[in-house]
Amino acid sequence: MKRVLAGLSLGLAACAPRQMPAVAAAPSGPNAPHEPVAFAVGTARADVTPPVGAATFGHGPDGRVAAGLWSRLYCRAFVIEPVGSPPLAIVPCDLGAISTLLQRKIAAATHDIGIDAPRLMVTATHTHAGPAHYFDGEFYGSIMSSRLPGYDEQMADFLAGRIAEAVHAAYRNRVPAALAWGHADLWGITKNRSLVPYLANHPRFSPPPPDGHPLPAEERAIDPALNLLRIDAVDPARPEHGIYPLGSILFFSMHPTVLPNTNRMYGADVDGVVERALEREMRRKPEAGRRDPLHAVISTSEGDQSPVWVRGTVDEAEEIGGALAEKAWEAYEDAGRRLKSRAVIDQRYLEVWLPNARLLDGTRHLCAQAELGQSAAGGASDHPTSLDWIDDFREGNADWGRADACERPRPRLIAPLQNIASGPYAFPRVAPLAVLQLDDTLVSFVPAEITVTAGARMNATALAAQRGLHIASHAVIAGLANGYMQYVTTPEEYQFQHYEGASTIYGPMTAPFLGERLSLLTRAMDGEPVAALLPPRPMIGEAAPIAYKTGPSRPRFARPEDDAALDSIATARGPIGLCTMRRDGAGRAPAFCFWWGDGGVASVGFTHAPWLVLVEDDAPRTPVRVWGAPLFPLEIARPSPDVEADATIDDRGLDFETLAHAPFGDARAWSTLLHPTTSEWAELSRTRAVVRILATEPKGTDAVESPAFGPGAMPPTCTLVAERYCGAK
Amino acid sequence: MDLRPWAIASAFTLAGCTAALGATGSQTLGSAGVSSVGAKAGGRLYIWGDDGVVIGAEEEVLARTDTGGCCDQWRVRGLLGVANEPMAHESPIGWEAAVHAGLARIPVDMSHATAAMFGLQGALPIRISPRKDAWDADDLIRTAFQIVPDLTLSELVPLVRAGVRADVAVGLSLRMHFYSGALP
Repeated sequence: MKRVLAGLSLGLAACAPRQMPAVAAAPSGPNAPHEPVAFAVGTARADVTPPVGAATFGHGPDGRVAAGLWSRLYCRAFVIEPVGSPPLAIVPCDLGAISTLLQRKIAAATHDIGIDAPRLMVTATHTHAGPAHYFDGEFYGSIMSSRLPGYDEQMADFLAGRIAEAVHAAYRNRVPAALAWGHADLWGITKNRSLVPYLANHPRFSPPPPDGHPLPAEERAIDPALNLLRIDAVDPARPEHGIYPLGSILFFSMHPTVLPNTNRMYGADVDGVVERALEREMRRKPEAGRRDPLHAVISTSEGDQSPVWVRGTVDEAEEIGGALAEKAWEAYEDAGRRLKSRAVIDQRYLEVWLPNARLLDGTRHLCAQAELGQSAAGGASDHPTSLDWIDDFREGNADWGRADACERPRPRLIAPLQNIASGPYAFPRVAPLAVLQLDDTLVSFVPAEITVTAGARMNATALAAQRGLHIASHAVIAGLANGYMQYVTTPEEYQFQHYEGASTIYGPMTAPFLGERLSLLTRAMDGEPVAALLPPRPMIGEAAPIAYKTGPSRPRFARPEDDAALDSIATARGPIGLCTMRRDGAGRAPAFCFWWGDGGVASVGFTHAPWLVLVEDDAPRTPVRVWGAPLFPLEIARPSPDVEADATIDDRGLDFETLAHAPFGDARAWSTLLHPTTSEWAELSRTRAVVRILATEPKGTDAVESPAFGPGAMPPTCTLVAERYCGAK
Repeated sequence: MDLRPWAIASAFTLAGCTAALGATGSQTLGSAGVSSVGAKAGGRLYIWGDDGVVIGAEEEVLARTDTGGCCDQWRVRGLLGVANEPMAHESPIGWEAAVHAGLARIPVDMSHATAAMFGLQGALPIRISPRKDAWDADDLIRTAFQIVPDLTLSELVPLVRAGVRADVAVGLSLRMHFYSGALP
């Protein structure tokens, strides 16, 4: 009966739109003098890895339900407080996308420290191995948005709660700081996955590759710009010298998806490699002490720019991430020579209504209702979906006879069923935009995946709009920020109806419209009165009430009562097996498969602490500390012996691939594939370490230990069954 | 025109569905009560996911078991309601509630009469296929089996003769459930 009533009430509730928690924010005037000022910065990390069992978001109908994890998902909060102005927060997350509902939920919890929605910029790297189920917009929780789709308020609340905690912690941690930008170009690791539409652009954004650098056409049709914001703590008495690293944010154009749609592990994909590599290098600095400097990644104009990948494996993600990290580290070190403790820090925020929105010329406008084209169902050229075998779903399906001139030449996906299945709340109708000037760089926050050329045009428009004294010389897009309205192409690219054009949901004028609004925000920062050019509400700096609907409510976030509880499985909790994997490739370190019985997926939840740790075979089970060689050759001072933060080998890094299996007895079976790096294994060999894998338990009961093993005591070779159990292909 | 996209899109939009075979027994209430048992077959379509709107059709063929007179019956009804199907990764017990309307051939006095039929039906689908974890139950197309007890309350209104009569029927069916992991 309870289920009947719950179902009926959910059904009735689903009929009416809900209202986002609007945050009452005073409309902003000039929030800071547009002058260089001193500022404080605080940072903190949120582990947003949900229990396994939720679907992954990004691969549409092929987004599998996660059975485990490769790397933890983190949000990294940077709170910046200019002297004389309220704080603002930038929070890049290892998620597939940000929903405006999520941003509003976080903002409702950070209102007490002055960080309301207009001063909160949450971005997603766009990993396709993060969770679904927290989106406003019916389509993003409904048919074909992932496998086992649905909206789960618990997922939204879990993410918002963890992120808000990190924003609070960052606010508490703030210290006087200095910042600097590092700029570089990186060729050879990305390509344009939609070359024909790109070539149709006029004018075409086409930065020249370096001389003597032969590249295929796809690899030349990119935005190679790598912009890195470095932030160090400073001693106010010597403000131009960083005393320890607080963190850095990399802005780079790359749709960061190497792992395929068959992947069943949560993970930050290629950006997670970059984040960990730079964080490790920052921690190696003697001045870092035992602090936790953060490195975050923000995807810029990544709509049509993909990594050059072949195998789609964890190993390949590490290779590509390593190459990007190497260049980013150069930019980081370069920026260290220009740190400034006074900088222009100014920001404007505007929520724009999208359906039928008009450009300033009064003639061009967005389409009346968001919709997807046929080619959206087949996926992009580098990650086609399982529906790609249908001709109509392939890239390039254009309908020049379509009566609707706004949408033309896009044939509506599954017309007319799309309109029946999804009403006016299927897609977001409001786009939160923000422009932030940080020293000499304008950052435009846009809730979409912008193509290379569309992004370049928006950047040029924003730079050209500046009139003030302290004008910026660089501009970057921060994509996938504060909401998700899929792709934005240029009008020329839209005509080809590749995947990106078919997914530009408000039609071909979206890029010019967004560029125009961003330029108005830039002018507002310079003190120009632009309000007359905008609709009366919402005003700049205002977070308006937003009506929304979600996909059907479904319990996708694991509930403790649905699986084995830790306190009831004492007999079945323990090690079961350990073996050495057979690995291909000379010179690779060995890998190990360990499987054991433990609590259910909700009871082993992921926190800031590691769950799986490699420990020494001594009485206190001391975590193994291995510095190893860096992923790339760098001139780095050896840290002092007491600088050991996060030198352990645990599941917060990239060395464990962990999977949940079927219940057995009253417990659940788990397996993990431990694959130390070559350098880590070399150091273990040098010290003749004898080690164990420890599955810790947060509630204080005993940890589960693997049998002891090490370079001198290798476990038996795995059978094929065991290898498959640990997820080996 | 290539119809495959529409067919596939429709399948994704409309599936899952069930097909059922089972037994039923009915008792027409009142002084002219008729007891019958028989077989039933039916199918249901769950619109936009397995928790939500269900439409369906059923046919029953009934043989009279009391000694009151003639005749055998048949009933055909359409159903519209709400459902919560027992998915492979969820509770094994679901529920369905529907209104129904249709036609029946019923015994009246010593002959047949065609009657309009409408009423309510409730069912408790019980999944007998083994439970799966969510990550083992997210294929694009899956099947599962259910045992489904149901209770149907009907009003039978003969089209050409007087005498509205109430009827209660219980059934037990074996259903095959087809569904897609791409549906909510």
